[in-house]
Amino acid sequence: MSILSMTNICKSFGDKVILSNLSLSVNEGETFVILGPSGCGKSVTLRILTGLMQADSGTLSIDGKNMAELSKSQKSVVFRSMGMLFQNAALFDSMSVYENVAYGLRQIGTFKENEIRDTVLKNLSMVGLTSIENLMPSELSGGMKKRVGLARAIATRPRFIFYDEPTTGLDPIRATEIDLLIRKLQNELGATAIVITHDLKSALHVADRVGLHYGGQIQTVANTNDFFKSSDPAIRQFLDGNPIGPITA
Amino acid sequence: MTLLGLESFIWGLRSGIKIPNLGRCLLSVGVQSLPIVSFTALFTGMVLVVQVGNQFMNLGAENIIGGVVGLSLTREMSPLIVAFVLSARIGSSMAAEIGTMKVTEQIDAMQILGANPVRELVLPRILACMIFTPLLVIYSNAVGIFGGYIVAVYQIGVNPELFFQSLTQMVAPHDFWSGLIKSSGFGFLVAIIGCHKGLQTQGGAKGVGTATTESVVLMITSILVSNYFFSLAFFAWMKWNGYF
Repeated sequence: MSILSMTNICKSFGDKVILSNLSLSVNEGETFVILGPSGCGKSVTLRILTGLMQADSGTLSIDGKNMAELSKSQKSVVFRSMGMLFQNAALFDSMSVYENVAYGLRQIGTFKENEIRDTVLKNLSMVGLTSIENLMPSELSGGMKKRVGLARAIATRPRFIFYDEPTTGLDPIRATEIDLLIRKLQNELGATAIVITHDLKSALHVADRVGLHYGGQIQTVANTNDFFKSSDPAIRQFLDGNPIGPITA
Repeated sequence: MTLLGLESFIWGLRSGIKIPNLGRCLLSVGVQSLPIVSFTALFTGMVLVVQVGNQFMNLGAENIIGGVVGLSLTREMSPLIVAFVLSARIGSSMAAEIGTMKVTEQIDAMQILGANPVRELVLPRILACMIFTPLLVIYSNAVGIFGGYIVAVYQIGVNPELFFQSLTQMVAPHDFWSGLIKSSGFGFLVAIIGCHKGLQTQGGAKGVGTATTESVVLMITSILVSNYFFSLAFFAWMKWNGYF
């Protein structure tokens, strides 16, 4: 059952059309990967999904509710059910790891300090980190930052988790670790996840379904196995890294 | 910028301010600005007397030196000195800090985690600047007058009693209050411009640099322009109340 859908979403910056009648439907509990070349508008799609950016036109429905018909406070309730891992983790650099992970919990305002502490340590442990809660983000490696970002994203137990290029900038071993972590969290938390990436290996590791984003739309959607075996010219071009084909710069 | 100010005001009324955030800003705006404010105010008071002291002595106007120093500092010099110091020290840092948070997606992360950046970042900075600028002006007045007194008495040879006599006779409470009121306005301008420029930052390090520079230029310009209108309003008020 579709829990999150975008219908005919359009977005332009000046004369440059980024999204043109983009439609997307994501089922509850699945991990949907959006693959696509750099600059095709994947991150814009994600920003519209998370409410960080407004679409020029089109319909965004989350949990069966048309977001355009909700009041500001109703929208904020929906957006609070989301967590996001940013491309560069986006940790608050003036706060410790502990404060970063506790941030979302403090915003909810109903947790006592001992509950916050337990939740922070539990979430750090879930992403494989212990005894680092007092460190500052500047003292962490790239992989650790991503893990802390992930712990922060899942701390409030969101129903939707968005991953923006989760493996970008990591070595293959750390990248696989993050992929496995995404898969593990998916199994443990059961949240609906959307992953934006151009890392094929990562997509193969984490996806239930894959969509190929180019030309301002998500053109092809298929189950992971079908996607990687597809003979669709655009998919083949992307998978083979061929500069000649339907996907143009 | 107007919308940002309005949103901050609404957040302030609706849900109050987060005390830890305000505390951090108060420390940064107020306590950490004391050394530079002391330094600039002291030497401004001293140079003021160097400039007018000898001329006044030659004209036999020794008895108004303290008053002139007091009036200059309380009405104009101290509010402007403190506003300029805060523009350079605090306003630029606000633009750079918030700008860096913007380009590194920390502001986006804040929103995703259910926080409102205006409430978290802008409101405490505006309040801290509006609260602490007048306090720094009071301090700057005292330090500046002390500097003027030192030069007047020990360098030019003005009678200490005459200095204080003219100071207390010429400087009325409304002179003092007018400086404090407008300094609070300057504090608001510094904070709102710094935060606005920070939130508008685009691009990477270059964008942060541009936002920082633009914020300081805009702060200083707007402080000088608004100072003129504050002074006009003050003199209109004095006329209305029959002071001249």
